[in-house]
Amino acid sequence: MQNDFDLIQAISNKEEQAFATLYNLYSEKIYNTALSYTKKEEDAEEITQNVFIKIYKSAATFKENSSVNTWIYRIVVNTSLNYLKKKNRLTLFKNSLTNAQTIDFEHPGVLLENKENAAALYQAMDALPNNQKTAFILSYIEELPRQEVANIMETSLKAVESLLQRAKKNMRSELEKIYPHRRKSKK
Amino acid sequence: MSDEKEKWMEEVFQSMSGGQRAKPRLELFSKIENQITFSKAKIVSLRQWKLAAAAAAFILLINTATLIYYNQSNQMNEEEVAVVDTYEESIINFYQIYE
Repeated sequence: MQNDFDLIQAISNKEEQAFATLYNLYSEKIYNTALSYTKKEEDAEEITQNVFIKIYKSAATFKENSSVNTWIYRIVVNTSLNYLKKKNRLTLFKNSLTNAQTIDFEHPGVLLENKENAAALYQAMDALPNNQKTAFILSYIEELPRQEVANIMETSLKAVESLLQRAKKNMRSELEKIYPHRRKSKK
Repeated sequence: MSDEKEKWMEEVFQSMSGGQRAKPRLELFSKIENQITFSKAKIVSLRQWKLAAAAAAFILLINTATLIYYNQSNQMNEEEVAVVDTYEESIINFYQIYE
C-alpha cells in the first residue's frame, strides 16, 4: 500500500489511480473543512474541486518538509478563504445573504441531539476574524492536534492557543446574544 | 441561571464532536476527473491565440508591403526603360540629320 508521499509522487507522474486513492482518503476532510467556512454545500463542493485540481497541478512541487495532511489542509484553508473573499466582493447584498445562510445552516454530519447547538456554534463563528476562525475550525471541528493546527497555519503552538482563547471569548459574547432566543424556542 | 448559560455554551463548543463528516456528492469525483482530463489536453490560451493572430497579421502586413513595393518598383523600371528608349531613338534621329 502506498503512503501519502508516494501518492503525491505518483500524482506528479500523472497516475490516475493514485489520484483516485488520494481522493478517497482526503475528499471528506477537504469537503468538511470547506463546508465549515462556507456553510453552503455547493460552495464546499466547488472548493473541494479547486483543491483537488491544485493538488494535481502542484504535486510535482510538493516538498517533504511538511506532511501531506498539513500541505492539503493548508491548500483547503487558503482556497476557502480566497473563495469567500471573492464571493463577498461579488455579492451585492452581502450582509443579508450571510445572515440568511447562518441561520439556516445545518451541518449534515452533526448528531441529531446536537443540531440546535451546532447551528448556534456556526452562527457565533461568523463573528470571528479569519485567523481565529481557522484555528477554531481546525481544532474544534476537524479535531486536529494543536501542533498540527500550528503547522497548517505556519505559526507557533503558543500562537494557536492564543487564537483559540480569543476565538472562544468572541464566540461567547455572540452566544450571549443567541442565548435568550434559544431559551424562547425551547419553551 | 448563569451556570445554565455556561453549561449551554460548553455544550455548543462541543456540539461538533462525535459527529460524522459531511460527504460530497458521488458525482464530484468524475467532475474533478473531467476537469483534469481537460487540462491534460493541450490548451491554447486566449493570450496565445492573440499572439498567434498578431504574428500572422504582422507577417501578412510585411508580405503585402513587399508586394506593393515590388510592383511599384517594377512600374518605375518600365517607365525608365521607356524614357531610355525614347532617348536612344532621338539620338539615332539626331545622327540621321548628317546623312
